[in-house]
Order: sequence, then C-alpha cells, then structure tokens
Amino acid sequence: MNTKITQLKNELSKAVIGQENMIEALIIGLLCEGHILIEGVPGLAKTTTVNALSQALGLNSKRIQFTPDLLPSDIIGAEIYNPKEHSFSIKKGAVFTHLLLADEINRAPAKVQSALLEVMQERQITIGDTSFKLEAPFLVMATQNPIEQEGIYALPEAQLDRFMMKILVKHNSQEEELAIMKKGAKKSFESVNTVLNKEDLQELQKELENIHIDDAIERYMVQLITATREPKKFNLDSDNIMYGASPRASIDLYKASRAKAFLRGNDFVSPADIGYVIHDVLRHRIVLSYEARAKGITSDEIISKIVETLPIP
Amino acid sequence: MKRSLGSLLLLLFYSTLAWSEDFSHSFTVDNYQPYVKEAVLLKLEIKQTNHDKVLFFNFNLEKSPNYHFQRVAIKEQGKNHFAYRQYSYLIYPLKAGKVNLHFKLQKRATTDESISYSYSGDRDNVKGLVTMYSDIHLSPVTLEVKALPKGTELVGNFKLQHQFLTHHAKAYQAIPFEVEIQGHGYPPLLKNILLSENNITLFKEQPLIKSASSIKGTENTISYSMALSSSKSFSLKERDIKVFNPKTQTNYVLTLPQQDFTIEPIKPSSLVDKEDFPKPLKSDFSWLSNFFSYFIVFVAGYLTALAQQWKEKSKPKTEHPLYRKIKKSKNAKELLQLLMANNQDAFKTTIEALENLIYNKSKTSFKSIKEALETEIKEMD
Repeated sequence: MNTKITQLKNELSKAVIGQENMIEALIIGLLCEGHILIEGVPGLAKTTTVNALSQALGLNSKRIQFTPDLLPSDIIGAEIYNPKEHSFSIKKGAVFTHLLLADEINRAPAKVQSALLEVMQERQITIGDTSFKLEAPFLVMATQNPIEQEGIYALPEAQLDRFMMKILVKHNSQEEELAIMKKGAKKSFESVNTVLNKEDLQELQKELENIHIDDAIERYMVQLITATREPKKFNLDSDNIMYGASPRASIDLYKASRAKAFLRGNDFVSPADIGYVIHDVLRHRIVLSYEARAKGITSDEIISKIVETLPIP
Repeated sequence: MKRSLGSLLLLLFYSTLAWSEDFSHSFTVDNYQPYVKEAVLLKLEIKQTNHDKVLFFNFNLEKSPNYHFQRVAIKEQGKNHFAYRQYSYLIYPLKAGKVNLHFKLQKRATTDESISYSYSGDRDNVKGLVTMYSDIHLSPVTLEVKALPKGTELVGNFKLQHQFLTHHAKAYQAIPFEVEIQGHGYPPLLKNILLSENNITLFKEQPLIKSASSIKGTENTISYSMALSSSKSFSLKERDIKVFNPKTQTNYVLTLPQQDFTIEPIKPSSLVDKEDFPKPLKSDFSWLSNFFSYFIVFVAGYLTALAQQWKEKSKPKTEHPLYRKIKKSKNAKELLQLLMANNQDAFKTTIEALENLIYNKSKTSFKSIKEALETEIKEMD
C-alpha cells in the first residue's frame, strides 16, 4: 500500500478505533472526489472520523448540523444589504470549505437538501447573480440516522444519486469496544497530526489514473449496472426493482473500483475490487418495488444476487 | 275571534324571519295552541348568508319546568361557506296558559386556513379548530296552552292490556301480574295504577319504559310489573283511567276490570322455618372442575417449558448459509464470484488467494483454497 495512505490510516486510528470500512470509504471518496453518505446509529464515531480526516489532511472543514428550521442561505450564504453604502455584499456560507460534514442530513426539509445539489455536482455555488467555483478538493460527507422515523425528511433520489457511496456503519467488535471504553473513559485519545497536504492528495489522485482497467472488466461493470435496470435480461427476478441505477452509478463504480485497487496496492482492477465497492456504490441508487419492501428484501441482497449471477471475466 | 285566529294560526305556516350579520333563521311551529302534554313540532332553519366566512352552529332549547322537549332530527347540508341547518324538536307543554319556549343559539365563525390547519398533522399531533364564538339572541316562541278536561290522567291514543298469572294462591303467596299501556302520545306514566286496598300487600317495580320519538310524535310501551299477596281472599276493584286524545279532542277510558282472588289459608306454624341447617338442594362440585382446569393448565405450561428445553438440546447445529454454495463451486472464478457477493471482508485472505490463482497464476491449487475455506466456514458456525 502507498506509504502516504498508510500514514493517513495510522493517524486516523489515533482518534478512531475500528470502523475500517468507513475510513477506507472516506479515503476512496477523497481520492475520487466523490461525496459519501454515512448511515449508522448514534455513537459510532461518524463525526469523529470526519473531523480526524480533515485534521490529518490539513484541510479546511466545516460542520453543519441539519435541523428542520435550517435555511438554504445558512448553507450556501446570502446577499446582505449594507445600508451605509447602499450596496449588497455576499456573506459566504459554511459550504465554502474543503470537507463539509452535513450532520444528520435527513433532519432538514427538501429545500435545504436541494441547496446542496448544485454544489455537489458542479462544485460551484450561485448566490444572487454571482457564481463561485469551489477550491479543490471539495467533499461532502453526510451522516444520517436510520432509527428515527418521526421528523425526518428522506433524501430524494436525485440527491442520493450525487453521493458516490453510501456506507452502513455497524457496531464495533467486543475487543474494539473494550479499547474505546478504556480510551474514552481516560480521555487518552491521541491528537491527530497533519500528515498529508493538498498537493499530496493531488499526487495520489494522479496516481489513480495509472491504475489499469481491462476492457473485459469495464464491460463487466456495465453489465452489473444494466442488470439493475433490466434484470430479466440476466435471468434475475424483475419484481423487486422499481428503478435501477443511473449512469452516475457506472462512473462512480469505475472510480471507486480503481481507488480500491490502489488502496489494496494493485496496479490493475480485478473483479474482487468491484466486489468490495459495489454494495456501497449501488445500495442507495436502487429503488425497490413495493413487493420487495413488503417481502423485506434489501437492496444489498439484490446486489449480491446480481454479483452471484453475472460471471466474472 | 280568538278561536278562529288560533285555528287559522294552527293551519298557517308561521315563521319568524330574522337577519343577523351572517345568516338568516326561521322558526316553524305546527301548533301554537296545543293542549297540556300534546306534542308540538318545532323546526328551526338556519341559512348562511355571508359566504365569506366558514360558519358552524350550536342550537338547543333552554330547560324549563313548563315544557319537556326532545330533539328528533337534525339536517346538516352545505359545507363551509354555505351552511344550512334544520333542527326539529318535539315539545310537550306541561302547564296551561302562556308558555314561552326559550332558545340557546351559538354561532362559530372560522376561516378556511384554520380548517386546513386543524386537518394537518397526524394522529399524534391533533390540532383543535380555532373558532370565534358568539351567542345569538333569539326571541322566545309563545304557545297558548289549553288545559285538559278535569280528571284526565293520560294524553294520547293508548290501549291497555293486563295479565294475572293466577287467581288462586296460598296465604301470603305472591300473585304476579303485569299491566301494559301502549300507544301514541305523552308517555303514559301513572303513580298508582291500582287503587289502594286494605289487607293486600302490593309489591311493585319501576315501570319499564320504551319510548321512541320522531317528528310524528312519541310511541310508548310502558309495562308495570307488580305482585299482590294477602292472608285471605280479596277482590281488586275496577280501575278506570281517564284519557284525552287531543287529535280527535275526545275523552275515553282505559279499564282494568275487577279481579277476584281466592286465597287458601295455611297454618301460621307452617310458615315458620324450623330447620337450622337445611341440606343443600344440590351438591356443588364446581370447585373440583375449577381445580382440575387450573391443574391441567399448569401441567400443560410446565410440559411446554420442558419441551422447549428438549427442543433446544436436540436442535441440529445450523450450517453457514454459504457452506453448500462453496461446496458446489467448481472453479476459482465461481468461488471468487460467490465470495464477492457475500461479505467480502470476512473472506479477504481467500479472495486474495483466488485472485492470485486466477490472474497471477500462483501455484496454490483451487482444491486446497476451497478446503481451507470450508474449514474456516465450519469454525464460524
């Protein structure tokens, strides 16, 4: 594995015990400049990990706690009238940063969630009649809590599609929990040092481009995505999927597989790399049918079935 | 002159039209000169005239010892801005002379926004409807109530039925009987249906009243259940109940004819209870069936708990869901595909070994990788 990545992982492990999948997904997001949606119950170090990552990278980071009364202008900024000079000035919002932590994103109504659409896709913000290009890297890491059903606003499909990956954060193992308990009680978590800078990150991103993807692997990826849209074509049950994955899914699967291969220290993408990331890339993009929901089928099960059915190159 | 005016008024449709700010109302009374206890049908119609508001109404008569009333119908048509209400009441005046009917009318005004707001939310977030209350004064309606002929006990059109189970009994034995008055009119409730007699003990219950009111009047069935007992033979005198029918303006009499009863005397000593501990009429073994039913339930519960334990012990160890699929896999690609689809993180080492075998042509055999995986899976169980 690349030494810089190892350094970054080591630094993060000072603040976060366990949760390797989440850390790896965040690094994939950073390398590919893809936004990450993290779903998990409270207390699984979602916010801590994001904060540690921003410290380790020496990047600006801002956090927005999403609440039902949040306004789009709180995020992107607004034009403020100056009565002395009879002019308008622009007050920039929290989105002008490198790493944006959108905490509990599903607590804010659709108009606020939609305020992130432009910035997530174009990396550009329009306030009044002025558009601002955001400085690279720009990454949105949103968290949401799956338990509460009251007072939440489910993210619309268009918004979900802009997230490169959706990570499900699970509880730690007993050994990890023991370590967390001891360190947490003694407040002995070490402080995170900056080990990478913007230039290093850009270098790593350039290195990604050297990862080779074979034509057969590319075709395999397309087949996987097509299978979510036309399951019958691949002898799969078509009753469970209402809408399949979008073209953004193909792009993100391509980028994420390449990043995964890079993190595993390979210079080529193998089907296993796709297997490692496919659930995270597709689970929020497949819209299940009512029948599937009634039967309690999850999108992860559908993805597994697709991977099991389509022969690897 | 008064009579002709009164009868004219009886036939004429009388209505009081009054305009308030937002609605019009009119009263209709079918008879302004009824007899005491004669049914009078009163109707109130309310029509909304100001359609800018949303109106609701609460209407009722005020209680009074001078009359008895009952709401028999309510018609609600038109919604929100076009409210229409028709209230129908049956009124029985209880005294002769001028009787004023007093009313309570309350107007509730609100807006469409308030209604929408009250419907918003869900079952856990119920919102009340905010309305502006205002009391509307309505002038009383006056009835000229005519007195009943002297001695009248009931008002309406009734028939009387009676039933005595026996006319022969032993001394002090109860003789049950029932009198039923049925018909149309003011509920035929009488304080004393029998005239008091010496040497007779009368046992009576509260009369059973079945009354149903409608705009046509009140249909009644009143049952008086009683019993008589005496130490010697006796006769019940004929009982005449004077009734007045205001519809036909005629008097008639309901008669309970004379009844003769023969009482067989018995020795007073036979009435005395001489046994201190009389034997029960029948043996009660219900406690035994209760005991057995509880015992059976207890045993069944105990056995179920035991069976659950045995079931747990005898339960075969479940195998890993992937075990059979792994066993079936024929080549490295097939196995890699299977592991990719299911929990890749748990099989990282095997995946790497398979990748090396497929793409780097390593010397490790598929068979050995598969066997190692099978052992690993077994240990997971």
